[in-house]
Amino acid sequence: MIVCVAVVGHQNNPLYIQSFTEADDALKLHHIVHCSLDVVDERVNNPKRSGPMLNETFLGLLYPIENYKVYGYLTNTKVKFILVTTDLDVKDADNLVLFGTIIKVGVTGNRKGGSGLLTRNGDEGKCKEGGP
Amino acid sequence: MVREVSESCVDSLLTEMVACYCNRFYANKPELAARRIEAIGYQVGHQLSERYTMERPRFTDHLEAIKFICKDFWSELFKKQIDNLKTNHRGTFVLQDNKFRWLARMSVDPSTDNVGSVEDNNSPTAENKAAHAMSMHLYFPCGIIRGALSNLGIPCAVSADISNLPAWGNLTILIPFIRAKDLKIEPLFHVKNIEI
Repeated sequence: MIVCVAVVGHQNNPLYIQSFTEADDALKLHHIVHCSLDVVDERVNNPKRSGPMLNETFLGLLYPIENYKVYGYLTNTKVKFILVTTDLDVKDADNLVLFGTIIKVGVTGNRKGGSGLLTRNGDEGKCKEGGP
Repeated sequence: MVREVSESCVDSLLTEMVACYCNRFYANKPELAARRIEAIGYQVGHQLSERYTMERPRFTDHLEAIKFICKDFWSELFKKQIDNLKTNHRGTFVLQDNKFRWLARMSVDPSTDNVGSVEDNNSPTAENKAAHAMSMHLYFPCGIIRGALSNLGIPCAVSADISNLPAWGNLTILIPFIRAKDLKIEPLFHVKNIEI
């Protein structure tokens, strides 16, 4: 189950963060997301360690922590998408599809276009709720 | 999935925007109008680059980002690739488009030039006016390119130059990167062609 999704801007400023748990552990999840930003930076600055995934936007598993696994995605414009999940064996392909959807919604507002989170200017062009 | 917009609408919008800012909002301050139009372009380019780079691997260096601008970005916006890309390998890039689409169907209003005597029609002032009008229309595309590049992590200045005025479509775009130390623009005659 996905417990937390975060979109972080190019200056590590939070654009969107949402946890999907009943329990009152939002702060813990935010902390996990915060820590993952360092891992993203490390991956980008030490490309040798990431090996074959050089310049791939999907960063794969960033790090496992407690019962969670944290996955990351870094776009060309240095916007990070962080996913925290409780599933312990997830296929990368599934994650990629999921990230693709999140990014499409994040950039275009909905799956049919419009104005999204990353292309929003102030209060103009708010995210449209749901797709037509 | 992809939403399209009529090309004539874009042309009209650009013309109207420039006319609005130059003749109505900032009629007495052309520099301010230019800066406002450039800022609008910056915002547009910033957002477009977010969309167009959505599904591609990250760029390794500046040249790769510039090539993306020349090929993919240019053909998305202007329906053709750039014709010539030059660089001096010290941070300045020159992009040349021999048939710039947004200027291809542009003409100069003759009524404004006929105020003086008939002989003045071909005087340099008429040409200057035309060149000035053209350059006002170029601030928007310059802003778009600057916005896109800065979103890709390349802070730069972008300026445009029209040569070969009668053809109206010959556009050269100069992109010097701004570094913290040197703001100097390298002389253009050192530039070399590079394969796009």
